[in-house]
Amino acid sequence: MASIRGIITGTNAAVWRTVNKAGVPWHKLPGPAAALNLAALREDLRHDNLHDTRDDVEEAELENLPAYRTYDGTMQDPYDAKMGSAQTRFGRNFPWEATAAEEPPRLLTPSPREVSRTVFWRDEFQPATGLNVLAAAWIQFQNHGWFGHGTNDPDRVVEIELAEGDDWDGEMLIERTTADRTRDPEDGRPATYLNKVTHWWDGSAIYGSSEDQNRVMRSGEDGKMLLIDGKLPLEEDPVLAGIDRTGFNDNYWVGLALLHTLFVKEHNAICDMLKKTYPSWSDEKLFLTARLVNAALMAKIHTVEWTPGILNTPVLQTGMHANWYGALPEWMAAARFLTKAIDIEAGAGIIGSELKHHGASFAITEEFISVYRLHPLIPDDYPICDHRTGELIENVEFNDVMGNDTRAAVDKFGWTDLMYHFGTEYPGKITLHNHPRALMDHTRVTGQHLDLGTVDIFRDRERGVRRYNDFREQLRMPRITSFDKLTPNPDWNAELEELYAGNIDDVDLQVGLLGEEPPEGFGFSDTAFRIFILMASRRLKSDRFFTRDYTPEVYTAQGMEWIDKNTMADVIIRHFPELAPALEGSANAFAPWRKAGPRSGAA
Amino acid sequence: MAIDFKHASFADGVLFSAQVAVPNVVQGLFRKRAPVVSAATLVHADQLAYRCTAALVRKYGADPFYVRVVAEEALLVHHPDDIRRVLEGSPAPFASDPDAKKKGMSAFQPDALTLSRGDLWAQRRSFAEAVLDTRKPTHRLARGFAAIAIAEADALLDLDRPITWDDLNSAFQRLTRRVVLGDAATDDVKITDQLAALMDAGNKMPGKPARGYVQFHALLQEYVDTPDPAALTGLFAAAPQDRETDPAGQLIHWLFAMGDTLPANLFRTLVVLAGHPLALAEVRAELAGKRLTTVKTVVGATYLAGCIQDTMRLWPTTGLFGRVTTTDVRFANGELVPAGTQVLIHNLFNHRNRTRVAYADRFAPEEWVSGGAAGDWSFNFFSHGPQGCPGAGLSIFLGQAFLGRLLTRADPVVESGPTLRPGKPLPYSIDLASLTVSFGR
Repeated sequence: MASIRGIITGTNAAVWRTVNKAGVPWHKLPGPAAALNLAALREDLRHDNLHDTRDDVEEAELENLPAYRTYDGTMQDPYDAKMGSAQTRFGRNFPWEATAAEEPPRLLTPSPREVSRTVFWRDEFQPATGLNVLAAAWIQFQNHGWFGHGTNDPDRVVEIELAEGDDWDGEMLIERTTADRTRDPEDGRPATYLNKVTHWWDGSAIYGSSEDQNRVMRSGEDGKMLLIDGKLPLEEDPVLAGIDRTGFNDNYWVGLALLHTLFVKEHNAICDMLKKTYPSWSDEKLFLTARLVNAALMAKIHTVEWTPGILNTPVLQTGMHANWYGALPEWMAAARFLTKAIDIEAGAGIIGSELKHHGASFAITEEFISVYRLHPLIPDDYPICDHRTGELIENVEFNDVMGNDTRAAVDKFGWTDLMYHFGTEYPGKITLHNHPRALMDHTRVTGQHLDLGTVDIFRDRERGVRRYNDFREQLRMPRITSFDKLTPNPDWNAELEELYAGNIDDVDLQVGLLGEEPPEGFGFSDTAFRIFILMASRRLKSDRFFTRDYTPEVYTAQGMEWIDKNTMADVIIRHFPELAPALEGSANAFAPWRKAGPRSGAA
Repeated sequence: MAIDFKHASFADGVLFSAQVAVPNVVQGLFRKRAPVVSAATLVHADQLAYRCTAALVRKYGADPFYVRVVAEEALLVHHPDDIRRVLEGSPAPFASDPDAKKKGMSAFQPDALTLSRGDLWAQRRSFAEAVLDTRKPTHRLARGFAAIAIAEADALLDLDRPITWDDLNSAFQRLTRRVVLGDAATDDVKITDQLAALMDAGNKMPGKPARGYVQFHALLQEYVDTPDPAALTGLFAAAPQDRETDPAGQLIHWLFAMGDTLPANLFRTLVVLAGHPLALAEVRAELAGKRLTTVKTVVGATYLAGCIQDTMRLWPTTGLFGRVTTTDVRFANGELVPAGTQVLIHNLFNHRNRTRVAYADRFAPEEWVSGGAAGDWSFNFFSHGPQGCPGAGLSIFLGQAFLGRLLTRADPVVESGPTLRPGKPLPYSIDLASLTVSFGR
């Protein structure tokens, strides 16, 4: 059967390689052809762009696989107990030889601070009018479930030289990413880094990545997570004052507080449903099953709502729906069965299909992390309005709703008006000259003062993520040959040419990604999208709880129904019913909601 | 001008007659015709009936609407509020003796409670309620009945071979004779056979007692005249009655409801639980370490009761039932329904109505334990209102004791018949004749 699949996908890939080489990109093709082209691109990416960094891969069928997600992500793969677990290495989308970290002077050339000041500085807020701020918070929420490099190394600090005229207060120091202590420093291979959270799409952002961490967030009854007066418990460490105790609370702000609390409430609602259905179940069984359901619901919302929201084209609408449900309708049972048998995922969807890793153990990759640096999404201004009348309550800034001020903001405005704000206002457009000003002069709860734009550039270089043209080449995309083809804005191109001293191949990845004109309807670049189509499918395809164990025996029939029937809007309205009027008529909860008041309507 | 409900088109009436009404009659209104039921299952007749009504409801909306059933128009009521209006208004102004039902039931129980009207209905109803302990939490003879149910379950297991519908039905007919008539009737299969023959005759809707009814009634009367204190007949003397009550004529209904309808539901429950291991585990957890001979244990098995009730919801043994207006009736918005109008309630559709029932096509016992199913007027396998089944509580109790015993002693395995798994929509019909269940121990 595999050979049938090989013939079909191989032929498809060969056809589209030829078409693309002839200069016709996938997004210029009509719908069905574009969909086939994307399937071909994914096949090539699976073949060429998955590289294992681990040297402790095991290959023996495991016995007594748990029918639930473990706290640290071990025992999830049927053959490799450690795969995807917390404290294991990030993978790569490019081969070892193309992942070497940059060393000085290249590491600091051109100065990451100058790149940030020149092309990231938000002169004027550029909104993404097809989305709401909830979409911005959502991707950060999901990212925190997929990856985290952990605390940086305070003993290895790089000083960024400041140009004349730079008004940065004091010296600019960046702590380097903590090294991978599991590596033999003498093996001569490029540096690798450890993921402090589980790589799996398992909701670790709210559940944590170890049992100890998880236990303190549990109520101990009926599988539920702890909520105190409808809020998460607060951290006890004075440094983290005002920040929720949750699975991942780095870079915390109200956007995350809203979503973490919302999905803890959802977890508890799922527990209620399961307890009603299976009254004899213990706290632990209820918790573990509710976690499975809640994580899958988040994955579904991300796949069929958030993604088509930010990549708003008919082919992606169809494609992401197909990733989850399959393109063939339920009544075409025989055809769905056939496509499932030969593992053509588009037919019956990835969900419930055969588990596959495509030659490399599952891990979030450094390149994936780079393309998800979407900081321009964050606005600087937050006009909080009354959800009933639409009247302005107060204009606040990002710094008023983040870090140690998070809980105070929640207490001051309340969940409903905050959620209403996130639903009705626009996020920033993912482009150059649109980094949030607050984050370019940002003091973290630890007291570190940083410019996130500078950090965005520095991290890619430090971690050996290729610069823009090399990155494209690794993805079999054409190199950009001159600055006038870099962005659609001639002024920006001129700025960049001067900044990079005319060396187009030196342009940083983040600069290229933000400058590139996205395909029509897309919220981000086609280059970033290549990593996306590979990894978005892989997060599902490599996870046994989305493939072979996506069954009623594991999830319960009621749990699967919960995943199937609920949308982001359902979740919001379940816990904030007063927001139902704002969501009325909304086809996607990540698109701007209806505004209250005399000038009611979409934002 | 009087406000009227919508009238479905002639074509829709033909469709409804062909896909809902006629198959319902052909499969046997009172006693199922096994070969016809098997054939109907093969052609998915119940699924077609569901789709037909669903399409009509989509087309004609939430209010009742008239639809032609062969020669005359009937009012199809499907919204739970309207169903409530009808069933709360039974037996007057919505009498439970529409023509077809009356003609059929006259063959084997011409003096049935459901065919009675006015004072006679009230009198017979109070007799039934007194004997069946309708308004009490448990029947006063429950302890003995539980022992009978356990003994019959044990006997079934002792067969030590896969069981068929005939095996289960025979066991339950025996149980029924003991519960209703007393131990003396344990092996009196003649009663069961005669009733079956009379009900077969009822399917042809003769409109009068069938041949053999008088002898059948006389046989039952003998049991009534020599009551068993441990059986329902032992309670007759103390129950309110007059010369027209006809106690022997009343118990006929209990014989077929308990002997045929209940085991059909229990067999299906057994098959569903065999394919739903998590639900089966709940049933066992509920009964773990308890003795089923204790009434409290049986009554406390609420999850098991939910399993039986949800099976009854999923596969109602009465797919379509009717009422007839005894006077002109006005509905909520002033719509006038003339006297003599047939009112139809399509259980098969209402129980699975996907737009109203979130758990329409899956096994959802929990909805009967802690959900809203018990208070939902869409579900009418025991009917609702003044004419709700007076033996519903006793029926569920017997089912709990019987299944509780089987399921705590053995693992049911479906040897033949449909595979019913969680996560897949459950079929609209299960042919009892196709089922064979073995018990692993």
